[in-house]
Amino acid sequence: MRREDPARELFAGLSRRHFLKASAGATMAALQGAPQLFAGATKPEPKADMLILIWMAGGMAQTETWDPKAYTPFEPGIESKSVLSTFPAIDTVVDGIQISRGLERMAKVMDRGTLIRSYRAGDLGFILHSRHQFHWHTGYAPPLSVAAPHLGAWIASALGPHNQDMPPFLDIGQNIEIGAESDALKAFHTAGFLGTEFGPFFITDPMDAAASVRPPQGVSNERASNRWERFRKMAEASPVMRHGSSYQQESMLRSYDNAHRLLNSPAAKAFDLSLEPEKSRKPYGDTRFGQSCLLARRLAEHGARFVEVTTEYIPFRFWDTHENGHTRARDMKETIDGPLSQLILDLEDRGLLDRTLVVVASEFGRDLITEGRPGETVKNQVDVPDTINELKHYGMHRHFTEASSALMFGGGVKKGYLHGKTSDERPCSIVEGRVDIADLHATIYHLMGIAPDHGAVVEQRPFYVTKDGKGKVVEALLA
Amino acid sequence: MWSTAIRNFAMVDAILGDPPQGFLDAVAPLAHDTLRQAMRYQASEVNRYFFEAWGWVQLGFGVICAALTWAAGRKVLFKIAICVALAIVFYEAVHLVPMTIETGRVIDFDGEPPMFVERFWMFHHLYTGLDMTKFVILLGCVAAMLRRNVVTALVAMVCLVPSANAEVDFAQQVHPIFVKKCFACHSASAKQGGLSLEKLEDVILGGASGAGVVPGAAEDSLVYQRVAGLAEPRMPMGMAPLSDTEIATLRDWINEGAKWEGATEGPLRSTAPLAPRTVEVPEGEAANPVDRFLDEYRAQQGMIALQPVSDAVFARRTYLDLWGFVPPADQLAAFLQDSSPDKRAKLVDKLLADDALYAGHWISFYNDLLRNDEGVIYHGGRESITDWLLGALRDNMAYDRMVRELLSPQGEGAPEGFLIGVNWRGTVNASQTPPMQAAQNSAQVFLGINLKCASCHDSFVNQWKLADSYGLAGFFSEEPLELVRCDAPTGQMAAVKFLFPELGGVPADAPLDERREQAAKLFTSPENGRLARTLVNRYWKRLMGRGLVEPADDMDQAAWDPDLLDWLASDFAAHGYDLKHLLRRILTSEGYQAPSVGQVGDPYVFRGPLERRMSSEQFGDSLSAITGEWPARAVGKSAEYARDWRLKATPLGRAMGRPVRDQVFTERNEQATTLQMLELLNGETLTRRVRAGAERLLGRRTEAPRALFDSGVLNYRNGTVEQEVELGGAERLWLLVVDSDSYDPTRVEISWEGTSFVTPDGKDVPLDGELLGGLPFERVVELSGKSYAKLRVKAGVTAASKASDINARARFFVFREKPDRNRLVEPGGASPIGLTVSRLPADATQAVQSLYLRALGRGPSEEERKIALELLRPENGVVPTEGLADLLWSVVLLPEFQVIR
Repeated sequence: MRREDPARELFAGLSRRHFLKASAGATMAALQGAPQLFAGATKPEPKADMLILIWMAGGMAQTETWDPKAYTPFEPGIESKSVLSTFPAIDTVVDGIQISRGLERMAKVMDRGTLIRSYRAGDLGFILHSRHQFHWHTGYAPPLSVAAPHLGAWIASALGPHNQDMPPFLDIGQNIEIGAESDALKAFHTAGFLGTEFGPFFITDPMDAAASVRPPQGVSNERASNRWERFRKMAEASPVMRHGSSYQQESMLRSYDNAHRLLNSPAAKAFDLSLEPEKSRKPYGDTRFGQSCLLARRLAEHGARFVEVTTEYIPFRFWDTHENGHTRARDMKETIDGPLSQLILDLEDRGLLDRTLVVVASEFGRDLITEGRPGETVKNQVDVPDTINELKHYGMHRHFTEASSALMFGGGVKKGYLHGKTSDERPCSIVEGRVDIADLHATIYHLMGIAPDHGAVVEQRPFYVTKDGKGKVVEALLA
Repeated sequence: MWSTAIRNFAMVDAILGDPPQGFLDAVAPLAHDTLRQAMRYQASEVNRYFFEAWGWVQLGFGVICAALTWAAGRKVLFKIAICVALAIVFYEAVHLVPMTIETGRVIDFDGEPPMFVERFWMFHHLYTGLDMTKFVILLGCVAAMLRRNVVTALVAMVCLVPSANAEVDFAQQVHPIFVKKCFACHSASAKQGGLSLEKLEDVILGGASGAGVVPGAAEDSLVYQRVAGLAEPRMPMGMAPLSDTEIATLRDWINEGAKWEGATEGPLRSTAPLAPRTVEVPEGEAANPVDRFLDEYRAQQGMIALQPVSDAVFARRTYLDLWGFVPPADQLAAFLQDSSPDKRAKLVDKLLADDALYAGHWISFYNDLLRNDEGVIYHGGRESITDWLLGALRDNMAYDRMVRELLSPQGEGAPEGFLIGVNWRGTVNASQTPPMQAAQNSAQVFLGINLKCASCHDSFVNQWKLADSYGLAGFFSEEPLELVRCDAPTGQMAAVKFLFPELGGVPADAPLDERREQAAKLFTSPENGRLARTLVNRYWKRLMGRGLVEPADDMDQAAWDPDLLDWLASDFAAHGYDLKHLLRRILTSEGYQAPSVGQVGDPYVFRGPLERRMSSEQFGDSLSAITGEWPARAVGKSAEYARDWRLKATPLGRAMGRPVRDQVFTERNEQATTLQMLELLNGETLTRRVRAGAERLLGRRTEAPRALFDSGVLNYRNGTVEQEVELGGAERLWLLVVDSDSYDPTRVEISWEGTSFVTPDGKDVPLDGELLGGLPFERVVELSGKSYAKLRVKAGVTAASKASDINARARFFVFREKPDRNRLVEPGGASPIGLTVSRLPADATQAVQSLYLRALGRGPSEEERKIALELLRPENGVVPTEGLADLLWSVVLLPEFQVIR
């Protein structure tokens, strides 16, 4: 082993480079505040390296999308309780699976994945969207005595980045400053006790995603690189760094370098949608959701680990149909049909679908009559007249926690498979194949190579990725 | 090797106690403490050189031995033996020694990362083992040469190896394994698979799969089979397997008959004594009693006292710890020039005396503990206690009274918010109802007791039971509480019972007010020493980077100096729970003023305060204190300059560690992360703030035009406003409408219809042209040649924007000058810290000098000045704003700036 001259070492920063290089990472766990992670009893073989969660925020009406029931066309005077679906059903490429009109392009890719019609949301009482979203994303119902991590943060922490230059948890399309429910959204868009290293990298507006890896407004590229170089030199020149450097300060510099490398890596190009050729861009359309799906695909190509794409939750907007449910569902289907199907096809074309798991889900379903679930109804938030005379009352306006639909494509799930069944008559309850959040998460984690009882010791007690570590993999969904 | 290293460290300390002046000059501008640190590293390195050199000496010696053996024509067996010994020496010199050195260095310099400690000991053991072998061979050779019986010599050698098979001590070796690794699932209350390991009968009885232990036969005992991986599933399930030593210990214990001796049955965990303890201050010379304890501690540890840090380092620490920002340059200069011997104590007093600045810093500490935040809304319940908290800190309210008011809020302005907690709309899990949250939080924050496990079931990790949590919650509940175990109601009603019933209780049927009042009394009872101990430990941790007890939320753990903890707590209580007194005690101690250490080792030994990272608030406030440019917050229609804690958290603030205070936070994670650095390198917030700061420092921050008219936020509910505005001879008007967090701004419609001008003689002239529009709306109205006196504004959001999914919110402005869109509402008032900051000198070199002094408390080195000047390269003899913004950005990004040494 070669050694530098000891006298030189004293004045030129000792051998800090040396030992810090050797110990990078090893000390992380020893730092205060970082929880101790543990793997579950059996580590599953990963079937996917990447997860794209397509979040249908606001409660997607299952009977207007993936689980159509008898169609009742609008005419003044129809009885509310007779209305189950406001669209007719259409055939898909899979025999025996029909979905709602308006999802024609999705109908053509249903043979690539699994449709679950029997997801059952949590029993959280009086409905609050953000609370159910918290429950879906963390597997736990708030409030909690510790800060629960988001699904994406667990994956980021368990598996690390897929590509070192790409943040492992990317969160596209949700503005978390939406007024009254902002704090509720922030409560689960977080790595919680896992620490900010695994927290979400927010891209609120996909059309401006490039801005998140570009220098801030008013700073040119040239100026940014100039100030970075000067800063780096200045940091090296600081007598404190030279002579009294410590783990803390070295680790800061290393993190700066990581951040800088990320901003200037080839992967950063993935954020710039303007680099996408017109031909492959067009099928995604101009909507924010369409662009989000396109961005997700580009990020997937550059080695993302977890990407969440959302239609965005804003109270009373998008899937949160408190009125005009029929026309709004039509618009929402138009919004998602093209981009979603294109994403599946593009991933397949690029040979990525086999190792990418795409999950489409929503916090709960909707119904015209039932608020909550049959037998456990909660206080109504929308007045529904007995007979419908105006179009604005025609649609699924109440929050239905009994049944909703979810889709899974790619990485290790069955193709062209239909899971679960709901009754054809109201209350359209789950008849078979019920899947709750712990089991759905267990399945997702399993496909990603994480056991349902993977977890961390927080304040001396175990905290698992699925509640109490007891999620059961839904074997029927696995290829 | 190790003891030599420690001796060398001590030697360096001894030498540096009074370093030769010439030596110090030579290494200027090194701070004194930094130099010591460097020397310690050096000493550590020197040890390693010795070690390494010894390896080579042995090798040389070995080669000579081998050569002699050959030359002497010994038997083949001899030659083989010598070759083996030589091979060992060679292997040691070229691989083992370097690896031991390498890992040893990591351990020494880098806070003993577990992976390296493990590896170090592996190399170390291997080295020892090989050395032993080598020794045996040589001894054998020597014995043979002396014509003694080789076998006898070898046997003698083996006997020297201490027996590894001493009888296993159950209480010391086995029971802790059960407690740590098994009780989470196999206690009397958990009993997974029917197995409990709390009592010997239970262990022998076993669970669903059969007997746990067959005394005397480890191989037949399920407990052993499962932990050793001989039977599936391997235990502990879902955790790392036990270490080989632990497995061997269990095996030996069973084989020795599984004797249950010395340990109490059940989860062994003692509760720290409750009563305060009077401790005599040790004899000694130190003026501050804290130092007498530390001197005694160091004497026990065989360490010598450390020289205090330089004045500049001390001042920086103290300003950051008491005011929350770096020392203003003029105050720092005055302090450095002051030659009075008690100037450090005077500085502490001076800073403590400024109630507003002190409160503006410490409020963040209490916000974390009490889950209080600015501008946070919850559907279900949450209430700010900011006004009360700020008042309590400004008035230096006694800590016990603070706790009483929090637990028994009475009257107007009382801090109800703490007991309300953070609640969501909908059905809440029984373990998280407001009374249960109150129980968990009050026990954790004030007494260092974790009741979170025991809120669902009897705890597996500490002594608290479900009934204890409910017993405490009963003090804060309107209704009697039913015990709910893991979401299942038990049908049993919980007794109202304090965690320490020996202090007293309250009748279960007493009114809520009375129960809360009684809780307040019990928490703050003079007999309850935990209250003061918990708090002084939190303060010690905040100021020193690590608590006397860790984790600070588990006050049943032993302190590294129990006497100091108990004395500090008693002293705090004896001085009326005076928080400023406590701060003074600690800050004026030599312990606080000792050089900082980079990382802690395990077991922890106090060598000085731990290096700390600036908190999010300290970073934000320091940046503003350097430039004099503060962020603004909206107050009604106007705005004011504010300190960081007052603002709603920004992306920058969050990235720097301000927590989402949905739970109690008793420490911040100080670790640097990539996402955090992305925000610093590339975030809009910091870039905007350094830009504004640079403008202020150069005197180029101009006032933004003020609006003639500002509607405040209008929505469809508060409809339209009508107001008359004096025009004051304006030649041109800008009508502006901006979005103010509508759900769907694209669908908002606004209207100016009905707005008119008023001529001096009182006639109405309707405003015509474009009066309806969407957001944002901007229109310029030319007035030249017109002689209007007033504008009669009628403006609002139209009925078309009324839909709930639009949630229209818009703000209307009228300006007479071109408005600055980023600063539509200019804050009024002065700096929130009441200190003025002068501009930077016009000369670039002097500007760099001044900026370094302000930010780092020192001037730049020649090299630093050169780099800084490259950024400030004057254009037409003037320092460019952008250049200064970039310099400021670079300086606040420096680890040196963000770390409190």
